[in-house]
Amino acid sequence: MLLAVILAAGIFLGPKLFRWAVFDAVLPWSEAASCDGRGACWLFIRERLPQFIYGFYPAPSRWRLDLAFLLLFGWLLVPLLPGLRRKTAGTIAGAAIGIAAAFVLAAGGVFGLASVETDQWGGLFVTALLSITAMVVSLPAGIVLALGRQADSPLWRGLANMTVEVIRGVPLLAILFMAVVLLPLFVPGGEGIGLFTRVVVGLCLYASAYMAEVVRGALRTIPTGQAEAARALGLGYWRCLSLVVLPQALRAALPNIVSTFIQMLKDSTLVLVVGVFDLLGVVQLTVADPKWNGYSAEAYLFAGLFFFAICFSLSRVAARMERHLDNKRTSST
Amino acid sequence: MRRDGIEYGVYVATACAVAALAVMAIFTLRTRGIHAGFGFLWDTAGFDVSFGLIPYDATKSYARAFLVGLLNTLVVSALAIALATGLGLGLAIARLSEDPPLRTLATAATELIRNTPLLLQLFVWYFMVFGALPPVRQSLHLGSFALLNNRGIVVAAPGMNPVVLLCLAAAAASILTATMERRLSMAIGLFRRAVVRTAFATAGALLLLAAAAFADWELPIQRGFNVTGGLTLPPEFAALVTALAIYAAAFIGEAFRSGFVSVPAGQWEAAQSLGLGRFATLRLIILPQAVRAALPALGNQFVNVVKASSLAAAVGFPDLMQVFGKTTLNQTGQAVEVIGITMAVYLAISLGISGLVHRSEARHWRA
Repeated sequence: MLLAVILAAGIFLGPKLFRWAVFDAVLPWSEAASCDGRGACWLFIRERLPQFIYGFYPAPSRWRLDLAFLLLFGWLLVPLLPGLRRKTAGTIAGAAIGIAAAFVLAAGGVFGLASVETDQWGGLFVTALLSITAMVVSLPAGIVLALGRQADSPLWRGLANMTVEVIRGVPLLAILFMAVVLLPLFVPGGEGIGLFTRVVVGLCLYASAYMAEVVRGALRTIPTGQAEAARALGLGYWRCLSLVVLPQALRAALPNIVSTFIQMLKDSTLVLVVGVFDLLGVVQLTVADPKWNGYSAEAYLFAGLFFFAICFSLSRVAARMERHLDNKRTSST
Repeated sequence: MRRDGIEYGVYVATACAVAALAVMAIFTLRTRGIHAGFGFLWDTAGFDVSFGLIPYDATKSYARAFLVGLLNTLVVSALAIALATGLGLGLAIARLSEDPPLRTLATAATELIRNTPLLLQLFVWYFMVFGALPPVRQSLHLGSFALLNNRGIVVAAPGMNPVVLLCLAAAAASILTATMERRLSMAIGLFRRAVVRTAFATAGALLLLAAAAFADWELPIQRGFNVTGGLTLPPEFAALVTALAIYAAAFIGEAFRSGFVSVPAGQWEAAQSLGLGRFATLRLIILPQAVRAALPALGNQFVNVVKASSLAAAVGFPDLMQVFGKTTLNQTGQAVEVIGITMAVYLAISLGISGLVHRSEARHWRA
């Protein structure tokens, strides 16, 4: 009978929702000058789309952000290059170069590009930049922290343990506040570090701690025999790690790594509390804009759909990876 | 041998680095005219909060404000955890049910909630649901016990009197006796134990009802532009608790579901071959194992709720992060102390909850 209640609610609400969202709505490709208020106003989204994507970036320089977008994602194609040896090193290098180049392009001030302050960055670009930077930095940093947690020396172990436990036990907002407020105090000449940089540092710290846990879990699933055999063959500590243990561990950890990426993408929205306007931040601003009043539903739906689309697809990818791994594990004897 | 030398070198270098950082921080703070130390806690706060469980106003100290924020965080988290666990259990049951429409609905809801940012959900609840409530003059009435308007939800507030206190104390004693499993089982037989436990639990429930009946309820009454009486829960509070509860429910449902699924099918078959009915099997064999399996994930989600409650700073609800981490920090500039205390408190709460979950895991294994 619970089912009946839910179905009844669904049948009642569904068509109303659909009518509002589609039939009565002013669609994004209509030619109306403004919305009539009966249905959803998707025209609002089209009007504001450039702002959602580029933030407050000056219009003539937006091509730089397009290029930066390409750079942010382009390194994912590096493994597909034919005839490329040392693919992992190549991908890592590609990622680092891509992200650095994206930052430089967006900031300007060199190569004859006009300088654009970080407080004019916003929207989807900031979300992409922050998430991808955090993801790319968190992998190596997380690996280092995880290795530190199971090191022999009590110093490394203690440092790594403390770092990971403290960062994981504290809300992301606290880490962001810490980065924004404390970083300038501890670094000489810290006043010059922009808000954006501090936020990036905070996010990377947070992501690294969570990645460290994922990698540590994966390292524990590798039988100790692997490391022992590698040492018996004469491989040093770092060789043993990079050639034998880590490739297996990371492959096993891939679904969890992707889950952490999803988490990072969702958590990147918190930067709006400290004053950096990511996609949600810009959406929130437009909701408050008196000219387009009362369209909060469309705005939130747009933002929600965007995040949902990406996170859901990534979670499906992670689920498929996990099934693939399980099959491999049970099929190999 | 060489490694030992390097290790000592690293020890010394780390100590020097930490000392250098500390000196650097103190120096920078001094140049801003801010003195290190916790003395600022006893200065007058100078700001008000919209919701607090203990008496507080602008003339009280920062230490008091800290307490208000801490209590608010704990209340919001506890409420959200309780709601989320109930909702999550329901979601899990729905996802495991036998008819496809219910299963699909539950799965769709879970995926939708899990894959959208919590902040977005919080904004939707705050701006589009609780912010869209009618103004005070046209408040919605829920019987005579609650009023909903855009300034908050006003619920009937129970008043304390000696009878209520007595009933509550007796109820607590009763329920405590009912949960004391091991002592009871030593004293009496298994069947009698079940009867005694049920008796005490029922007595406890009845006493709670009596307490509720005897309390001097203060009903909210709307007069003109104001509501008198009752306890006002600001829309920030309602939005925060709702968003947290629903978000966590999706993940807790997932934890319960995987715990349930991890119980081997052989358990069902063995129970069936012993002649146990479906409900008895669930209660005696499957659920204990399922809950035991789900406990670590559950504890993790509880900790996440407490940490996520810090999002109150995004909607202006005076929790620990907002009152202490934001307002106090901005006003006093004592960055290191304030952030240090805030982080220490959250760490203590997270470690505390994880520790409790660990202990109850161990207890389950023993029993």
